[in-house]
Formats: sequence, structure tokens, C-alpha cells
Amino acid sequence: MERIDLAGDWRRVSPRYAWAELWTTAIWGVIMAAALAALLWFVVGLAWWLVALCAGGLLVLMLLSGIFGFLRVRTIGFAMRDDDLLVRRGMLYRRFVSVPYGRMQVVDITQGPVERMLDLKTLKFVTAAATSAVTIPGLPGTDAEMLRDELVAVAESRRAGL
Amino acid sequence: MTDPRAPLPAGDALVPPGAQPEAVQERARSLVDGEWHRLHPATPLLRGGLAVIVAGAILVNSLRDRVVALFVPEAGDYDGGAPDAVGAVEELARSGTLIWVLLGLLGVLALFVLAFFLAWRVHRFRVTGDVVEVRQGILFRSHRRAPLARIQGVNIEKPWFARLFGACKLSIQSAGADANVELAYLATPLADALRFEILARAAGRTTSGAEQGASGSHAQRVVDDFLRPDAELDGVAPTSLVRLKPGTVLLSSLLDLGLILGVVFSIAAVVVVFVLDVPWLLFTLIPALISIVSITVRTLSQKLRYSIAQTRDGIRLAYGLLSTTTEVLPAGRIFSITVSQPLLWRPMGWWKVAFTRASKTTDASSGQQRQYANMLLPVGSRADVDLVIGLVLPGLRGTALLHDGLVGRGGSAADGATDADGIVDGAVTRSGVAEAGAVPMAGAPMAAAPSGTAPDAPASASLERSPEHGLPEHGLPERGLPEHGLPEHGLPERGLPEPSAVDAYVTTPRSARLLRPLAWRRNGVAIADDAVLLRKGRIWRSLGVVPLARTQSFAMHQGPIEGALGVAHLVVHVVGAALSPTIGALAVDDVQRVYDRARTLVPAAIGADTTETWHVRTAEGSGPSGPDVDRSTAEWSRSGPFGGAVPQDATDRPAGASPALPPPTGTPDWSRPAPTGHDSRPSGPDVDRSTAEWSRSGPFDDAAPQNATDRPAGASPALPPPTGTPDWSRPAPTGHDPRPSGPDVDRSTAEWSRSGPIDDEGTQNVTDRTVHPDADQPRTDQPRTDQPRTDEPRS
Repeated sequence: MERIDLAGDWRRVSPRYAWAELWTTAIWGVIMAAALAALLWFVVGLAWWLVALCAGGLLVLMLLSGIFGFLRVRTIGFAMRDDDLLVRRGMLYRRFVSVPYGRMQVVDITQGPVERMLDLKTLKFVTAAATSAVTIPGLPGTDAEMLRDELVAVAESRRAGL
Repeated sequence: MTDPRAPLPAGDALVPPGAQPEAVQERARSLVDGEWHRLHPATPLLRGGLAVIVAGAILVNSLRDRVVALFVPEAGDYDGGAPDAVGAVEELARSGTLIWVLLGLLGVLALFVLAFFLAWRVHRFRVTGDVVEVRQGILFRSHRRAPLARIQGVNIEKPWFARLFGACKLSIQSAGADANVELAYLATPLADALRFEILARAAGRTTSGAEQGASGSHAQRVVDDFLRPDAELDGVAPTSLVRLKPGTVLLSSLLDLGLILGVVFSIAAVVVVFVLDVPWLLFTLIPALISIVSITVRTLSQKLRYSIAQTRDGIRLAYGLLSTTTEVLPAGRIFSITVSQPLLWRPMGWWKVAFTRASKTTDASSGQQRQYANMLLPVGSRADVDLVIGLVLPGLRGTALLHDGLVGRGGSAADGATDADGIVDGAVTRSGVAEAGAVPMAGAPMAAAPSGTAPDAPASASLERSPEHGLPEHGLPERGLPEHGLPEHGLPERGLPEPSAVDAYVTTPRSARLLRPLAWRRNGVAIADDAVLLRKGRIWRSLGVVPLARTQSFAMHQGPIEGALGVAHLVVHVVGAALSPTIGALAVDDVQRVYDRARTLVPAAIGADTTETWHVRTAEGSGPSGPDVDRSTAEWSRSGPFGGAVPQDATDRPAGASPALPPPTGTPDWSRPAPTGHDSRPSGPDVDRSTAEWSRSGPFDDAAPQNATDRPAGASPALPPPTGTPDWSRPAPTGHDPRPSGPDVDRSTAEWSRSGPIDDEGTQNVTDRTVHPDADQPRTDQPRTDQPRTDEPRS
């Protein structure tokens, strides 16, 4: 088992982000389990214990994936180097993306309801390539804005075309 | 160009219209004087031409039965009782209302003519120093404005019916979906000349109107000759670099696997039909046959007229038999290249070269031209591929790297080794070569890469020279080329270098060969001075080439199975490609090494990229003043508010902007719209230039160190203001908390991303935006439109 890795000055995202993921999956899990239960009960007409089993199983599965978020969140990190922003994420499926600052087209900051409860924000660095998809979730407090301003400032000095 | 085999005009798409009279050039220059001009007078007819033909076809169709019955009365099963056009007319004539019907038709026709005439009257364009603008529409008006510096290419399309009138479409392409500015139609010689004027301006060689007027025609011509000696100005067409022999074209089209399968299936179907004795089933084959024939004829007709040439303004492509298209792609507008070899072409040694571009054209009405829009070379030998790639990446031309990328089997260095460790070591040394492999070859003249070169020499030399691998010296693309970008020597097929003994590619380790059972030796990646090369496939060979300066970002991925095998894959993100160029099954060490190398090379290549005219202009010291007021957003955002006018601002801002810093003493008075940061914003016309990027990333909220994004309700007044927040209708909240005002604010993500930043600027800029909904977009896929685009009829 040889995994890709890059040494560097990694900045981690807030561990609270795992809670955000857990909450999100929990909410979705409840909704989907309810939908599944309704489907099985009213349309298929299964016995009540079968319905409960299926819906419960779905809920448990989703909660499990949410719990894995606690491991996953530790793998999310970013590093600002001289010329590029480096973002890593993923535990089983690892992904390192490097974006030269000059490639910045747009920086988005988003915050969903769960993230708002936990005072976290997600920063998205958009390039002209649709496939870049550089997102840094779980930035607490005003970190997202600080990072954004930093990125904008750095990108300003390295403007490039497409 | 003294090479005897290269020059040949490949069709009249390239041949300049006549001996290009001086008057035409003068007229073209008058078209770019910054005034509004109209299009070709025959435009309505040409735009409506298709409709006329369709109507005619329907009429003929409805008459057909009648005519057949007329000539062969006994054969036809014409049913006299069925209503058709002629019958209806006869009926009308008998009842005496024919005259009214005819008058009515005439009236409708007159209305149409009037409408078309008016539409032509209001359809105007102008080319100013830095933008091209088109206005059109009577009821639904549109005004499109495209910065010239953002041009991705200029096409001249000549649909066959327009050619009858000596007219053509000039289409100025920008990045993004359907972001073209179309000037349809223009007189052909005028369009040709106009294209050169536009490209000259786009390239930063601005010849201002004043200069033109003052310097007189002769001096101007000399200057033009100097700047654009290739152009049709002199009546000399740039010659095609690649000659496609009709036989080659024919054979390559026939050797299409899809076509052969189609024919085989058709024959099989015919046999089955006759064996089963159900001849009526043959009719079901007709549509398939028609499509096969039409597709083949179409591709053939385009390949027959294909030509590619290097002009001062970029690479020039021409294709089409009846309807022709001529494109000019300025330097740096080709984002990635894929060279591939269909299986059946292999015995002939043919290749095709495709490329991606940033503009997407969804024009469906004359979809015929789109077929080859992404082909640099529809079919050609290895030498042709070498030439064509040399146009885009001169540093790659004639290198062993490119050669190995095409036909190299790879793995020559690893042949003897058997164990995994040995391979990894081999790969390590080889990657050292890969990093520098192109240096000596690229630096040498093209002719210096003949078969005589000792195969080991480049590798060893490159190892020695690898340390000086800082900035890509050869990475400056086309602009530095001599005219036509070619050395005197056409490389004959046998002159190409033989596969070098040391493969310069980092390839799949033996331990992971299960992932690429056939191609594992070949599958690999190499980084040249100015491009990254991805070599794949043993049966279907292909080579992806991405210029480093065009790379948006790049990634390395690894899944669990890859992890178990000790491999990973690399992805290069480019504009315009739906599928990112990817290379998989490479050893972890190698991937990380290549990745690290790319991380140093790509920003350097981007910095050294001269394909944006802005560099030229600032180098000339023109700065963002004067005529640059017209300048595009993209440039503004680059050079504009920070780079040019207030350079120190860029660095000043972030500090002031960091919300972590303590807010300035006291609370800013929001009713006073001029905190210092706002003052430093360029005033005057630049206020209009608040870009989406700014509005999203909100640099202007620097002005008030409280990060305005956190202000929850500004843009969504429908929501109840959160407790503790001041009344937002009054723009003077005091004591605004820089931190998010708490979880009680119920706003969706979408709102955050959209509205959040807009209220960054709170009191003033909200109105700015409403007043100027057409504010320039920084994402270049949106050219400036002053009004929403309407569904104007586009022919």
C-alpha cells in the first residue's frame, strides 16, 4: 500500500466540519428513510417490520458514512505556496489539486444551514476549466474571508489569461 | 518558404479574392474607424435564403404527385380528389377569389420585405480600439460587446448560397458557450480585410484611426506590409503547410471503422432479407444508407479542402468544399491537442490531430461546418503531425519526445529489469531524462534531429543540462516564430528521428501492468519545456499534449486499488475539454515527482506566456489610460484597478481587508458611502466595471473592514431581518458585527453565494449593479451584452 502524499505546510480545516457532514447526512438520511418507508408501506405494501428494517438500514448506512466524516475531515487540507494553491482531500480516494493563483476566475464563499449552525464556511476557487473543482470546506469564523482576500490579493499580482 | 513540397493553396478559401484592390483595404480600414456600420445589403436575403429554399422544397414536394400523374397518367396512383396546391389554386381561380388571395400574399410579402429591410437598417456593428460591438433587433434589441483582447479566434464562414452573392459570415469567437459575435453577412473581400484589422488590434498592434488618417495610405501600407506580410493584402495567400493528397483523403475516410462496420452490417442485412425473402424490409435500410453516404461525403468534402497555415496572427485553418470556413486561431488559443491513430490507419502511418478551444459554437442551422472545427489535421503522416504541432508548440517540433510520444513503444530502458524495485529505479532515472529530454532537441534547429543523431546523445546531454531547467525558453509560442513559423527544411518522413534507445517517458511500472495489460510499456507521461505529454494506448495509439501555459490546474488522484498497486494517476485540467487529459497507472514516486515538477513549471510558464496582449501593452507603457478606457474587463481586472492605476493597492488591500484585523476605531458610518477603500477604487467609468468576480469575491468590502459578506439580509429584504441586526432599509447600521450574525439567519447556500457578496458594497453598489446590469463579467465566457440576448434569427 503506497499512497500518494505531499509534504508541505498543510493547513487543516476545522474538525467541526465532520459534525456538519454528520448532521447533513443525518438529515438527508431521515428524509430518505421516510421516503423509502412511505414507498414500501403505501405502494409496495410490505409488512411493517420489513419496512422498518429497510428504512432503519438505510438510516444506519448513511449515519455510518457520516461518522466516517470524522476520519475524512482530517485528510482535508490546503497549502498556499508561492505560486499555487494546493488542496488535498480524501482518505480512500485521495486527490491533490494544485491551482496556480493566476488561474483564479472567481472565489465563492458558501454556507449552508448546518454549516451556519456550526459557524463554518466553504470556499470555492473557480478556474476556467470546469473540472478543476477546488473547494475548501469547514473554514471557521472569518477564516474563509481572510483566505479569500488573501487569494484575491495574490491572484491580482499574477493575473493571467485563459 | 522555399520548400517545394509545402506550398500549395488548398482551395479558394485560401486564395485571396482577386488581386485585393487597394480600395478594399481602405474600405476595411474605414470599417474599423469606431463608427457604426451596416452589413452587406443582401443580408436579409441570405438570412432568409434557407427559409426560401425550404418553402420551395415543400412546394415542389406537394406538386410532385401532380406532375408525375401529368406525365405518366397510368403509372401514378394519383388520387385526383386529394387537395394539393395546384388543385387549390384551380379551385380559387374558379371561384374568383384568386385575385384577393394573390393580393394578400403580395401584402404579406411586402411586409416581410419591409421587416427585413428595417432589421438590416438597425443591424450594425462597430470596431473601436478594443472592442467590437453589434447592435441588432427592432422589437427585441440586443447589443453585444466583446473585448478584442479576449478573442479566441476569427472565423469566416461561407455557406454555399452566400458564396453565390460573394458574401460571408465573420464570426469573432470568445471563450464560453455561444459567446461569438457574428457579422453576417459581409462582402467577402471586405470580410477578409476586416479580419486582419481586427486581429491586428487584438494582437495589440493597434493602428489608431488618427494614425491611419494622418499617415496616408502609402506609409500605412508599408507598415502593414511589415507587420503582416503574409496577408491577403498583397494577394499572397499563406500556403498550406500540409498537403492532403486526394487519394490519402479518400482512403482515410474509407478506412473508418464505423463506416466499414456500417457497410458490413448493411450487406449482412441485405443478405438476410433475401434469404428470408422479405424484400420490403429493404426499405428500413434506406435511412441508414443515406446517413452513411451523407456523412462520408461530408467528411470527404471537408478533408479535400483542408488547409492549415501559419500567419502572423495565428494558425489559419480552412476547410469545406461548397460551404467553406476559414478560421484564424491566435496564439495561445489552443488549449490541448490530441494526436491519435485509428487502428485501420496504422499500416499507412496516418494520424489525426484534434484540439480543444475555449469557445463553443452551438450554431445548428449550418451545422456542417462544425464537423472539423476541432481538427488541426484530419489525416497526415508523422511529418505532418510534427509540422502541425510545431505551429502550436514550436519547442516540441522535431524532438525525440514528440516522436516517442507518437510511435515509441516505451520501456526500452526497463526491458532487462524484472523485479518491481528495479523498475522503479529505472523509472527514476528515466524521469530525470523525461524532465530534460526536450532541451537539447528543442534548442537545436529542426534539421538537427535526423536519424543520424546518436540515440544516447540527447539523453545524456539532457541529464547534464537538466539543472538549467528554470523558465521555459522555448515556451514562448507562436509569436516568436519567423514568418510561417517554418524552417526551410520540410522534414521528410525518413528524416524523423528513430525511436530513441532511452525512452524519455515515465511509464507504468511492471508491477502495475495488470492495469494496462497491453500498453503498460507505452503508457506514460513526460514534461517538455512548454508542454506536458500524455502517451497512451498500444492498439489505439494516442498522445495528448497540453501546453503548460494553458493548464488551469492539475491533480493527482489515487483510489484504494491504485494504492494497493502502488500507482496513481495524473489529471490536467484544461479549458474546453469535457474530459480532462488523464494518465493513469504510474508509480507513486513518479507521479509525485512529475507533479512537483509541474507545480514549478506551470506557474512559470503562465508567467512567461505572452499570448495576452496586455503584457505587450504594459510593456509599451501605454497603461490603462487614454484609449484603454474602452478596455475589456478581463484586462481591467488584470491591469486595471490594481495593476495599473493604483498599483500599490493590490498589496494594501489584503491587509486592510483581513477581517481578523481589529476594525478601525469607531464604527464606520454606513450612510456615508466613502470609506477610504472605496475612494481608491478607480472612479469614473470604472465604476461600471464592477465585475461579477468582484461582486462575488468582494474586494470592495475591503473598504469596510467588517466583512460585508457576513451581513445577512442586505440582498434579501423579503426575509425578516435577524434579531439584533439594524434596520436594513436604512443604510446606516452602527456597530455592525464583523462576525456572522449567528445561526438564526436562515439563508440558503444559494443566497449566500449569490446575494451575499452583492451586498458587500452595501449602500452604494447595489444600485450600481442595478443600473449597470451589463457590467462586464470576468469569466470570459460572457461577452458584454448590454441587453439580454434575444433570440434573434441567426442564419
